[in-house]
Amino acid sequence: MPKKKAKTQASSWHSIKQTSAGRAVTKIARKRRAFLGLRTLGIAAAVVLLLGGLAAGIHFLNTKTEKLNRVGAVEPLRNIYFETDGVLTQAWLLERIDLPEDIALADVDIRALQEQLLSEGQTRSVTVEKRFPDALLVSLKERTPLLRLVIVDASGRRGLRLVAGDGHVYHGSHYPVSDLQHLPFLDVAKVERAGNGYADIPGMETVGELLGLARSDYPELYAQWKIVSCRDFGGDADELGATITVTTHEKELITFAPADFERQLSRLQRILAYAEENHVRQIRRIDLSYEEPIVKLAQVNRRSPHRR
Amino acid sequence: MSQSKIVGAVEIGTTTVVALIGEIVNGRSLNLIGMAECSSAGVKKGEIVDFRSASNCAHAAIMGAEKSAGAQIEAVYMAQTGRHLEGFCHTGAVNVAASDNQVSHADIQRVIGDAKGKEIPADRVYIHHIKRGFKLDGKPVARPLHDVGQKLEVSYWSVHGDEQRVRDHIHIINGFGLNVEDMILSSIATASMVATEEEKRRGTLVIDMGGGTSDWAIYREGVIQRTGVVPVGGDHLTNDLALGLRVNRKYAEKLKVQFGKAIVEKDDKGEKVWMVGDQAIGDRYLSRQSLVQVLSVRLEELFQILKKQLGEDGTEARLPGGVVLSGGASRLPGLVELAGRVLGLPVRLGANPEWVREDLRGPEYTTTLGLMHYALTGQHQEEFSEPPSQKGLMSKMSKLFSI
Repeated sequence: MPKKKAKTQASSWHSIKQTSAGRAVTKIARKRRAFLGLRTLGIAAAVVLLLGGLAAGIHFLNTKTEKLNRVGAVEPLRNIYFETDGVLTQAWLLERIDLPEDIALADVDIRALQEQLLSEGQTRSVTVEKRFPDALLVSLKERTPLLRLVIVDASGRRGLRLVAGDGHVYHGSHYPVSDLQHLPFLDVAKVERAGNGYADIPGMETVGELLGLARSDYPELYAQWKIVSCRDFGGDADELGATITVTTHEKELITFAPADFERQLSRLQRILAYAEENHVRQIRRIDLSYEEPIVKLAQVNRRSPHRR
Repeated sequence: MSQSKIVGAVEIGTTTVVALIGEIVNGRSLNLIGMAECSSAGVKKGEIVDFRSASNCAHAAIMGAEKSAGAQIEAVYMAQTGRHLEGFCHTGAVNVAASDNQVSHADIQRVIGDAKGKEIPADRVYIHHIKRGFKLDGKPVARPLHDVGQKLEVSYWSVHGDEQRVRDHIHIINGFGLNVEDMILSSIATASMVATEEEKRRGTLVIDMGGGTSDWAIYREGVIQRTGVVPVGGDHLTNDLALGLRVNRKYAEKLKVQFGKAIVEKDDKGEKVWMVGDQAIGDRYLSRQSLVQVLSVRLEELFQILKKQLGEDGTEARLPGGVVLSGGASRLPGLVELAGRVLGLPVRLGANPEWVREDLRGPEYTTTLGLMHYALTGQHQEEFSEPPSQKGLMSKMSKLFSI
């Protein structure tokens, strides 16, 4: 019988490798493993579902929270703050918006409010802002009137409107009379209807340029201007024969080409100064639209029809 | 937050497989939550002879226990028995290294290493190293650290077994998808339950009479001094009856349980015992004396073998605490008297503690209850075996790269 070899190092049963596979796997063990495997899968699926549900819940709560904040803001509207760059007042605003008493701030339809205020015409832009818990801020940017316009409706009734630099025709409100009474009137061939109001009049940017320059640099000239006629100016400055004609309080007609107003106004001032100095009266018309200005007097001076 | 661990105690015996499941809460308390037992197959004298059959029985028992507990076992504590188990006492000795002769940690580690490091044959593995105590210059000391002396000794009772047979036991559990947390000798597990602290201190022999083997352990000074296995158990009594009375094992077992005794008494001669019990054609009777004689002879032989194994350790002087009998076969009437007469020692029948629920107080459950006891107290870690392998990530990585 061969002698058994002794171990060089004492061995414990712990050194026996424990393995879950192999010959000892019985039917019962396989069944248990399958059960445990399924259970593990089930637990994993449940955990995934739970985490998914949790994430969805958190997402839902966050979304809901925003809504709840709004819905939950049941504080009534107590303050309305008003800002404008023009002449309108808070009283004007309160007349227009006509909100029910004790309306909750959350219930104020700021979109409708904005549209309502924009429809007033004088407002160029409107911002309505809810300031929780109980305040509303309305900020306006107003149009500046450029001209006055007399409208005669179908029934022959006359009404006064204002025309802004963008051609918008509107009822003016809260302007000081002194501001409006110096505004020239606009004379146009036709004012188109648009909805309940009027369509924007084309070419007013150009007219505004002329009037602005005149008001700032030639105020003594501008003060004499009574009517600005755009019958020959449809908005296109390059159109052949397009002119803007100003009628002064003295019934003089001054015709401008719709460009290079600085040069034309300068000439006009020189012409008038010359006429003043030379006691030339009864100027009926000055046409600055040509290369050489044309001055027409009431009584034609045969000896010198043209004056430069 | 309480932490609980579900542990299983499994004894693959010759006649039955018992599986107990307990919940260890916070490492301090144990709740027994499930139990199942299954008749064993493929096991002879405590050793696995038919791996597949033994696996089927063991797995059925564990599955049944898990079902009754409604929980899955995380770790298994396993009983080990069989005549392949052997033990020896080995003493390690070192000279104290320090110049002032004060015992250091290093000295203790060296002497322990020397005591445990005895070579064993290549096909054997250690099951336990049971510390019997330190001696410093020949005098017993409980804790030698920082004591002054020249020669430090420690002796261990080392139990080793056949590697293949141990592996078979482990792989049966592995086959169920579980790992063996620890392996404990049946005799040690049983003794921890039935012997009192006083008996362990004075010196007591505990005998666990199972189906295929009778495992024994001697306690003295509160620690185990020796262990052993006699490859005779209750199954042999049944076999003897089957052969002697010419009945099959089923009837033999029934006769043993119903009429078996360890000692022949006067009245036994006149008492008739029917072989099958239905008194139909083919059934026959014999005197109870004949039946008891068969059992008595075998049991006497068992105790004689045991006495021989014990040698001088089996004397009353060494075992003033006497003998405690346990195990399924210890139920036989008259066994205490017979054992006392043969061994010449006071004998009592061991009983499980009162705290064990009533249906588990039978001697057949003592070993598995003892395994549970060790799972809870962790005494095996400290006293009997090497520390368990680390289960940390780094340890696993080290194994992966064979560091």
